[in-house]
Amino acid sequence: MGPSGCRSIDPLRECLTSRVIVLAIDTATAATSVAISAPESVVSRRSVDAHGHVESLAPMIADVLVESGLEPKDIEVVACGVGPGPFTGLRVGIAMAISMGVALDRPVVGVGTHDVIAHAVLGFPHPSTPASAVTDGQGLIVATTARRAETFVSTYDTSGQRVSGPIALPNEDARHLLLSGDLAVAGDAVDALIGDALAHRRGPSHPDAADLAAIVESRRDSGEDWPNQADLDIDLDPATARGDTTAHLLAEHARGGRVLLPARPLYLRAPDAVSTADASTTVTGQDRRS
Amino acid sequence: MTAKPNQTSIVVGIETSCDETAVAFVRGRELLSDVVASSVDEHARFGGVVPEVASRAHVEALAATLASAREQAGLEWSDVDAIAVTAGPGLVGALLVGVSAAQGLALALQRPLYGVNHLAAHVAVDRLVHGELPQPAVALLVSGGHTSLLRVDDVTADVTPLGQTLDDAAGEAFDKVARLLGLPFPGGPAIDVQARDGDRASIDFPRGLTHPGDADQHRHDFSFSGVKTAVSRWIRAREQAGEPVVVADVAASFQEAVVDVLSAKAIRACRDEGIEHLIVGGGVAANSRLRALVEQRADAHGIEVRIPPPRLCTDNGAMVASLGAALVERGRPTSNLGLPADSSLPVTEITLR
Ligand SMILES: [Zn+2]
Repeated sequence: MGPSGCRSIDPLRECLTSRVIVLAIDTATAATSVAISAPESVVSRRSVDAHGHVESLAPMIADVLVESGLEPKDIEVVACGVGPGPFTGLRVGIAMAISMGVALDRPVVGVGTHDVIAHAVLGFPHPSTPASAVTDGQGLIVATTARRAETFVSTYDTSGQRVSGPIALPNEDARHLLLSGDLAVAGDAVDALIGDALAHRRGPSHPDAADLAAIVESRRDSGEDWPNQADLDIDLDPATARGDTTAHLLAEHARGGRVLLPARPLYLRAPDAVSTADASTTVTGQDRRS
Repeated sequence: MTAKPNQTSIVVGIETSCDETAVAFVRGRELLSDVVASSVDEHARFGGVVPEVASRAHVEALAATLASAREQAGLEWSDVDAIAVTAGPGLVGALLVGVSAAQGLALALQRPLYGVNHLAAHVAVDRLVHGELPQPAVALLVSGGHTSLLRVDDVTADVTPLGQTLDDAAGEAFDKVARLLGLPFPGGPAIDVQARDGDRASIDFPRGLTHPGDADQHRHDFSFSGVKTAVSRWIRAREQAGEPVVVADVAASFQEAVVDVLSAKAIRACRDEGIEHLIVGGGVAANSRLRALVEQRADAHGIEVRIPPPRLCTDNGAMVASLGAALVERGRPTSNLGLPADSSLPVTEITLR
């Protein structure tokens, strides 16, 4: 464990309480998932509703705080899934994490949402999906919905190391990839892409924030620093290359053996360049700026 | 959770309904800090706001905007008594960034949350400049997204729409005409500057919905698509005839056609309602000719006009914080922690639960 992770002044207790208290949030898929990981307990909640993130998230965080017997000020790190995922919901969780981090003066840490899903299968024995049964000694493909006939895909080896991705693939290519090898599959795009195929090699559809918290704890234990917030300040042009630049940043981090990212969304796609000035089909009059 | 009614409550306001990421702190009616990060330059090449670009920019700017607003206010987060945020109307993806951030502050600080109406906030910002709002008042709100005449009996509880644009917003017409004239986005400031050197009487562009027949059904409504089309036709005709297009004259004449209607209808609404106070807000309220003409015509009818300085007319966090502080003062109900965003929130709904 990292030396600065210890905050107890009682040296005997230090080893028991070496873990930090993590609030973990993921809204990159249709699921809203939150968890509080404290030294002696993990409390988590998850609800699945593709349009319910903004109304579910804050009450769920309040709930897990109460159940943990903790106050907001007890939170030592705020962690959020940074996607990839449909953008509007994804931003709800990241904006929540950022503002809580600012108000509590605590670090905000991002983790790739595919890493969170993979952790449920490969990270360590998971109550609902024992690793060996799912992967049969092989790696894992995580496939989540990107909408617009695309799927976000990452692959992992058996140790839980990301081998490729995340990238956005046309659905047909993603389907072919899922069916072409011996890898286990997980993520919310799997059902739509391959139906009942590979039922015996399926991991969970949605991320569990308890896994997200566990990743943060374990990276902390292995000495990985909190991401440098200066990484947030790189000069980006959101109108064109922002998605690509973010993916590039992720690749850089992965090459350095790092899992913890700045809290910025992984878009993997440039925004549609249709303005309110000529897009009455996408934005109604009432929708426009005032 | 209900905030204790208090005239010196410290309220943080968050605004992300369009392309401005804005955070401000107020203490009662005193503005403590006001930070605005705009993504307008990133939209300029498209001639209008791109919703996804705006939403992305809000997330990028969020942490720094929150931090610098607090720092400039010289306060600690624990000093905050309540959080207010624009919950609508606006671009839904953009609104959600601010609403989520506000929920996060409310959670972390364990303070009450107010999801407020953006239009009511444009009215409420004047409390910070000219003191408590007169009641009742007529409000003219003009911007790139809205053109509304409102009767405001109580900005925290009772706002009635009198009229609105039937097609383009006034600011939108400025953007489109600016594009026709080869001027940059946003069009309002560019046309205002050009118009200063032009002859506003040189071209007689149409005034929408001002015919006697419109006096009943669309008495307080506006229409700006006609004038935009007229400018386009006029330019084409001149070019086809091989005659020069004097940009300053077109800008001045177009601007005059728009602000003539806006100011005339605002004054008429005051007289119809028997109200002696007019508040003007929204980005187009920064237009120098609109300010001059409204004041001139109001003077003639003994109507008192309040127009905040240009910086507070465009979207900002101060307007949201100001409305939030007024809601606290009046002891109005707070929003739930699961406050949603409503992209088409009607102006009659001042808070969203
Ligand atoms: Zn506005």
